[in-house]
Amino acid sequence: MNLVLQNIGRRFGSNWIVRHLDLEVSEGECLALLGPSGCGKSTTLRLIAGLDQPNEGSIYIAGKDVTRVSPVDRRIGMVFQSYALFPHLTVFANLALGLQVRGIGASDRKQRVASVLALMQLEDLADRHPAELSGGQRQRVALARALLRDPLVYLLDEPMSNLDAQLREDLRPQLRHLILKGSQPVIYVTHDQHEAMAMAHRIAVMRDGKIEQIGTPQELYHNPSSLFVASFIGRPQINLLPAESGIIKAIRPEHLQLSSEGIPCRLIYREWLGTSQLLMIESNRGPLRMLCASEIKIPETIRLKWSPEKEHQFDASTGERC
Amino acid sequence: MMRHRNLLITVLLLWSLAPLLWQVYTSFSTHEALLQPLGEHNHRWTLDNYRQVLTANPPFWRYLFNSVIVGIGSTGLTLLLAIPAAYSLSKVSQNVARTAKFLLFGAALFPYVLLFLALLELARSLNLGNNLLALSFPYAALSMPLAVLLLLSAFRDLPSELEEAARLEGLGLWQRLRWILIPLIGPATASTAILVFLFSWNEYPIAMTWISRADLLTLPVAIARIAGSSVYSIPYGAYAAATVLGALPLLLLVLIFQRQIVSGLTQGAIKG
Amino acid sequence: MIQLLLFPATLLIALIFGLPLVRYTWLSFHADSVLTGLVAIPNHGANWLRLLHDERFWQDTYQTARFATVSVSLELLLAIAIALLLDQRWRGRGVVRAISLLPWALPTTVMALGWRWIFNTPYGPIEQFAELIGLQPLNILSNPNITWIATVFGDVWKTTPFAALILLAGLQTIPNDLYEAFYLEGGHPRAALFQITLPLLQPYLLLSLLFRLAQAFGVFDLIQVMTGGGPAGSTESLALYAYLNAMRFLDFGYSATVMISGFLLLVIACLLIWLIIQQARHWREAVK
Repeated sequence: MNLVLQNIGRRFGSNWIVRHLDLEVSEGECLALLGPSGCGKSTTLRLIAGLDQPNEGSIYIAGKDVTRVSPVDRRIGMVFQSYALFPHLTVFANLALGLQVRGIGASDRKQRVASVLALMQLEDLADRHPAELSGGQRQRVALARALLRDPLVYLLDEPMSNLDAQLREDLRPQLRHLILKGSQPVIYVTHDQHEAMAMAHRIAVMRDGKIEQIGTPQELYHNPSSLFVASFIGRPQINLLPAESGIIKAIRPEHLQLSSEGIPCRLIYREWLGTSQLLMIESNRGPLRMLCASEIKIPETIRLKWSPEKEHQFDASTGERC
Repeated sequence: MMRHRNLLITVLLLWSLAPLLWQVYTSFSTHEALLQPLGEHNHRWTLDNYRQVLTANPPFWRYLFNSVIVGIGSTGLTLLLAIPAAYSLSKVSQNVARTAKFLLFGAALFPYVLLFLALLELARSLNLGNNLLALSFPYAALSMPLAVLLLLSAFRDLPSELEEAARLEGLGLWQRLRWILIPLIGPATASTAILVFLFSWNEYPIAMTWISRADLLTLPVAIARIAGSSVYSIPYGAYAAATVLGALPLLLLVLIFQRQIVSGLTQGAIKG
Repeated sequence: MIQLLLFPATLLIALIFGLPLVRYTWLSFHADSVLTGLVAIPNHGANWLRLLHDERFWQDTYQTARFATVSVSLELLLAIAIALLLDQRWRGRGVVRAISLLPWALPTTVMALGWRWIFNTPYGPIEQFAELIGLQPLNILSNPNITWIATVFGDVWKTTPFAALILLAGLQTIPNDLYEAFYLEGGHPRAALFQITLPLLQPYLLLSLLFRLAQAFGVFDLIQVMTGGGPAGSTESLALYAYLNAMRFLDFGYSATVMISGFLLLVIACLLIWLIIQQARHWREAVK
């Protein structure tokens, strides 16, 4: 049971939103589509769901070509960013409707809905309407609905972006556990790299309708294939040094080290983050960010160096890795 | 202006109610009281006028009944056709929709009374005269433009993700309409229904030319017939009683459904 | 598949608005009356020639236009006032709004009968009041010079709520901040009406104007029941004349001619209004 996208392209007028997109997500794998707004990640999700038709390419779910198949028949479990719960139905009815329409008998429906309600800890809310629920509860109902679909693929469109930071952290492990229990591939769209790194096996970084790089979080972090990926992954953002003979060097803030022989720098500002501290530094190679343990005392003038293995090099004109 | 608000409100109320109240007064007045309103009378008040109207042949409630039949028929037919039409219009491209809205708007403006002759010929040739349910068809057709416009904007107001989620749940088109879309446009449907009902209840020229049998007349036509007698005779008490009885159902409808009526017209104005 | 859903409604609408116009145009070039045994025989524009010289037709056109213009102007003025009143928040507003809707909701014929009584000479309240204050009998419904004013009154009473509601909808789209900013800069409430309210209300005024004008042009129910077109045809409208030609004189060909002409005149009137408004807009832009 896997998901394959082949050479997918979608345009609006003469503007290609997504082009030459190839993707493969295996059984039980969670792939995050990560990127800034407008990069095409939501469009890609909608194409997989069938809510939009590609102008080029094919989509295969569990080996079957579903490119021309209606979303009604694709067996997709999707959680929308707004959850899209039916406002006029109770939680129970929201969950039971799909089952009813697919011909499942009343007592069977009751049983299935009850079990998924128990799984998501929503039993007490079965008779409430979506308007009476909190954001986190609505998200769980939306998830429950997707589970009940018994889908071949799960699609999650920024499922946590409507929740506050604390709730997001609380729900992350629950969500991960639930989704990854099954063997279905999961596509997780997000603009938040921390969420992507926490939830996914692999991340596809997207820009302007194309995938810049796919890899595990570690691969993307240690070996970004382009300037864009290097800048997008990792917070605080990677330091980009001014171009020299067509090459841009980059070094992550956490890889900068205090040293007696490094380049001369001056401390501008210090942000305390708990166990670590973020330093804004002025150097002869331009402004630098540095991340280190908060106990370390930083004088006004310092010298910084970094190990060359941690340094990344990119072609100044193409942004590709050298 | 604000300081005189209460005065203005009173004026508005008087203005709206006075003619009706005068009819009520007249309907309960005796013949003599009408001839000499300011004189002294032994018998000023009477129920005779109402008795006369209600025991006429055919009985007055018959007209109300006919109007209700036509009203329900028109409303049902209009909604039956307008809801799918509005749904499909909500899915087409903006340009097509704009043209459609423009045309529908023009149709809604059209003084429909001009159509009576052609409709009369139609009724004659298809032998639809004196048939209350047949009358629902032209009424539905005339109400269709406004109905489609109102329902179209209601469908447009629904978040598109709701229907998308329904599709992913496995609901086909009819199932989506039945379980999700139509329930969610309930208020707009109610507004449309009451406006169509009001239109068909009050319609006169077409009803008059299509229906001639006394016991099938709708209310406006019946009243007009009563009024058809000479202007110089004075059973005005009975006329007034007929007016009051004819107005009562409408009063009730408006008072009960005023929110839907207002919201329907308001939506039509804003989105128009 | 989805487009199929449009079909029945579109068909019905096209038929009911399109067919009659086509039919009338065709009929207008035929003689179809008692004289022809109710069979349509081409008469090559004889109806149209007759129309051009038909004094009654042109008199009715004038009367209908007069009725429509005066009615609609009065209605819009009143409607603005009512809408402004209903736009504010005060206790009982909903009830008053519902009551002010009543005139519109009643069937025209029902109240037309009522108006006949109210304007009746000598027993109606108007005449009674005139007598009380020492005036001569007004003979409202039998004086060819002023009966039409009574019909205007009846029309204004019935249809003002409709216009008022549309304008009310428009008023409610005007954000309060605009007024607050205006007052903060020392603006006077009366000035606010002309500087803010009316300009922003324009599209709604236009909407009500077009709607009401088209409806008033086709006035039929009120006239037929209230005055029958009299006295001496002074209140007869185009629609009534067309109706009489068809139902009383049984001259269907001519009736169709009258109706097509009425329709054309209405379209021309609406276009003229549209053009005037567009031109006024240009002038205002140029002045700025």
